[in-house]
Amino acid sequence: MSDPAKQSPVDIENYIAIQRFLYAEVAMLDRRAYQEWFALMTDDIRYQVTTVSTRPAQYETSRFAIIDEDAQTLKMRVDQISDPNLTHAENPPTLTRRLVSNVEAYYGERNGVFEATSGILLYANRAGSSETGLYVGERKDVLIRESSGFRIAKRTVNLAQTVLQDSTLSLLL
Amino acid sequence: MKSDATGWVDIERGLVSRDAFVSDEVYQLEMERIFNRSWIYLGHETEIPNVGDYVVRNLGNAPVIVVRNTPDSIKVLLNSCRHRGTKLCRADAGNTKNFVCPFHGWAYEIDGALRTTGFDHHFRKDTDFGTMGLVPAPHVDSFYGLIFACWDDGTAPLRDYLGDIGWYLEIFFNRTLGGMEVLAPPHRWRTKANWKIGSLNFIGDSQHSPTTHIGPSTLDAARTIRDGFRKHGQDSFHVVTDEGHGCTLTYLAPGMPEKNYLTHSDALKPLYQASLSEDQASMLHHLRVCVGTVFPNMSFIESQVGAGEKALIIRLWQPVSGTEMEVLSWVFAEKEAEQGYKDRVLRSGFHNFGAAGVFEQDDMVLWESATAASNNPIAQQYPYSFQTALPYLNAPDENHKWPGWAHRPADTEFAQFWFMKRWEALMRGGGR
Repeated sequence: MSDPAKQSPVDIENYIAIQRFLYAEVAMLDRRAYQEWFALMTDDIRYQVTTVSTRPAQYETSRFAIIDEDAQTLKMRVDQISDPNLTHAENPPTLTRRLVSNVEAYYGERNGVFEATSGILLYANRAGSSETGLYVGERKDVLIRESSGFRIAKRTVNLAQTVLQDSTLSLLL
Repeated sequence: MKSDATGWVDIERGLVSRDAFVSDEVYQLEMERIFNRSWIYLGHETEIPNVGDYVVRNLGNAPVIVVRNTPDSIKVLLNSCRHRGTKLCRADAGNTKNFVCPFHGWAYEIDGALRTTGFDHHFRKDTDFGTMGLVPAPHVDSFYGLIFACWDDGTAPLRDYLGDIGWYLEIFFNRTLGGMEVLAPPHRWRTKANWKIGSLNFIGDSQHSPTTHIGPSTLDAARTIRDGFRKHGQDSFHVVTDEGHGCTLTYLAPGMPEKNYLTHSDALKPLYQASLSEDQASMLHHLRVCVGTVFPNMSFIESQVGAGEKALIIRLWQPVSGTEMEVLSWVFAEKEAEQGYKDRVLRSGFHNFGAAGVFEQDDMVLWESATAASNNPIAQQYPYSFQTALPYLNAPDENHKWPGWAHRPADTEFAQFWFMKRWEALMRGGGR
């Protein structure tokens, strides 16, 4: 991703189109249409989720991946939670609601490429558990406009968390 | 069975009381009799390569700073000011020239010695400031980069504590001259399950693999996992040691297509030959998975499953209460390896076994489920079954040429029950 300060924000028409795309995309995840969601990824998708190891303020925070998938490994992850016979973590399914906010979008490096940032909050009520999982972070996406609509070429989710509290991140962000 | 003098482990019937897996009283006793007396794994030397580098961890349930105080020395210090208890280090890791308490300003050298309280002139003249440093763990040692510490003054040396498991650990952590290095900070997550479920899972729970991990094994296009789960090679075995450590070595079954199994990097194999004994090198040959536990709560796995490189992982099952643990998970590769290889090992390692691992996610919900369903008086009348261990007790493989007690086949609960027997001995106050 390039430096947002040096990028030009998209016009209102593109902005609304990108925002609608991001809403539609998390709606797919909340209704567990994981394969439909996966079809939004480009063949060279890089899907990353990171957390933090804290440092004293005078040092840079150490951020590192807990998920780092290409199309092949992301497909395995999607297939596993899509099939009730192949998952215990998502059978019974976790009740979820994903909230997307703070959307900003910029023109990318070439025509038809956009860079979008958004805030994500995933509320997860795991089956049989009295605990509520909360995942909050910033998403940085590279989107490509095709004739059928937008597709995601790169997604990085930077969680504001050091120790995950929800036992396991079997869900997609 | 209750948590009293009658014990928790029924050796005659192969049963273990559920109290052992849910009770906070048992957890408190574990801290006193196991965690404050045993050598506990804290981290790897490559996490703190430079003088002043530190990470914060727990030794038992006491927060500690693991600091490199000289190029050749590591100290483990209670992360609590001698004055009024505040943590000296509140970040996960860092580098410092000294530890200064943010509360009232007591300052310590990085070896823990008290430098000044800031108000030394108000203390009585006979005050011995030399005894007022940060509380050090009396014993700190490392085994090929693996840092362990122990609160017990009277403990045996680390090498004696590790015993025969050391021979197996060497195969994974000392197989090149440079040794292994940590590839990223540890993944950390909380799970509402008793810590021993993790230790037992890794010392030898072959029986859970086909059912718990039906997802990855079904989706693995090369069918390496499924075939490996179902058809253990005849050479596969559990090995345990007198100290309660153990591991399970799973080999390729005869006739299985070896080319489907990525083994170790061809570039690194010659380095292994130079560092390992002939027996140790032969152990790696055709090895599909090695998974084991160093008593009480450090586990390790080297496994190649599905797509991706074979990854070496250390896991720490940090007890939080009788019904909760924090899990820490590190991925390792040989220092000499190319960066591209290290990157692939890291990705493959946590795709399968990280905080969001495709294996881990199903383990975690089932362990939580077991803990939640066992934490009530009705369930606690019915002990857990380890009965498939019984026919194999006292029946070690007499032809086993390597260290430790080998037991075959590799899909019994023998190693898990062995762990629980050691746990019981220590919980009764013995075994030192």
